[in-house]
Amino acid sequence: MTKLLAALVPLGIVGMIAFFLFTGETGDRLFRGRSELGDAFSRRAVRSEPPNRLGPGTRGLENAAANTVTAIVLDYRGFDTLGEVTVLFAAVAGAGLALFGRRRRRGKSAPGTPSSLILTAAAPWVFMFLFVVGFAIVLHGHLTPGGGFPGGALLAAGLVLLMSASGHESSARRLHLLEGLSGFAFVAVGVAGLVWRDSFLAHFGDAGALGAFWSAPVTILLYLIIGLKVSAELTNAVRTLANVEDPTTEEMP
Amino acid sequence: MTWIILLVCIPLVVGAVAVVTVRDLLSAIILEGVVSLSAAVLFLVLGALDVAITQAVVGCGLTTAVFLYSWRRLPEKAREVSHD
Amino acid sequence: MNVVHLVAISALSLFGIGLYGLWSGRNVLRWILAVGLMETGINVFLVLTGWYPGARVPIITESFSTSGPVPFLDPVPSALVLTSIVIGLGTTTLALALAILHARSHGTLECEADPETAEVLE
Repeated sequence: MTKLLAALVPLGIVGMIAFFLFTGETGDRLFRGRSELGDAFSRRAVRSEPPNRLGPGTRGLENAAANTVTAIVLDYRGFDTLGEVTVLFAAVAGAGLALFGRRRRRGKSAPGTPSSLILTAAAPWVFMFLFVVGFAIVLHGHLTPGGGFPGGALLAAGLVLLMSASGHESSARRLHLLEGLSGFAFVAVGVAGLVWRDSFLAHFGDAGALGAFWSAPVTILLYLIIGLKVSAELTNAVRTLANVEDPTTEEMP
Repeated sequence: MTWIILLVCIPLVVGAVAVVTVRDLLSAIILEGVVSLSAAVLFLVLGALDVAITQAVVGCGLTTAVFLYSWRRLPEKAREVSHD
Repeated sequence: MNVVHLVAISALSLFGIGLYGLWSGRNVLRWILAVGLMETGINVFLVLTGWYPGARVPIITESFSTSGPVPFLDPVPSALVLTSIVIGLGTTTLALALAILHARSHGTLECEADPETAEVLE
């Protein structure tokens, strides 16, 4: 395909979409910014009697997460999160399967040339910082922005940093075990919600006061599970691509 | 406020054009990290903070690391500059 | 033409530039980079649909009345984009694994049309 045609076709598509969006009703409705759904979730109006004023310290809510996005990811659209966890697992497992087949992983990720001085000197300190901040983001998902996904990604980034600096890696077996256990634990919490309340992934227990750390216990639990799972999975994803070597006949240590 | 938003959109689009036009593959990988970073700043300015942290860590941290690791594992011949 | 329109145009143009990148060569790694650009563009567009001037971060830090509309950024598309970004990394990993396999078996990252398949199609 010539360069001109390749440039014109996306331009045409984008122009058409922009035309439909900026003239007429579709654009006005799309970019209104507020939606009734978002408002309802923001106001916890799914309860039968919403409180009149919502603020720190409010009790008696069905989900006392101060971070509205957390409430949507874990409570109101929790099933989508289960689907996301499944897709991530399938993608990383597929990458490992494509590269290694049924063989055990060979080779180490130690670089052929030694790492630079900056990397080897700074990696332990930066890793400590990333580890602490990552766990803090995971655990405070219901109060501050963040949660399991960015916190888990930050933890994975710390582990990848260690791996690239020194070549020592955390044990692959343990990470795979952690990943599998977290997935199982997520479904177990969902079934507990089915047993205690009326539906899968329903939140049980007293939600507590809005804004306190020990509020929304199921939210904390689920985000901890997701944080561990995402960190293990993303570390495995990077490790899969880092460990590709020509096959040998050695056993994995 | 609005001028910050418009200011952030400039490296977003310019970086994207650079990714598809640069000859060197390594530069394209790094520029993809730059595009992710400006997208993360855009999310920050718009007020979606969770998305901003996630985009910053995943887009310009882990994605670049994954690309560079796979670059390292390519055979020597495959790393040459592509001609269209 | 306000701010929302301009940012929407940049997000859509990111999508279009990525689409152009898919057609501008045969290098598999460039294709993966271009698809990543498209994903980023769509993610920005999705979050933008919940924004309006004056939208605040969707975290309840002070008390507000629940009888009227709440001045938050719409949290629903924000929640969807959150998972989309992490899944993008997973699919990029899978695509790169396949690209490495292709490069190792063919010796190059270029992707030619398979002559056998071309014969069968004609």
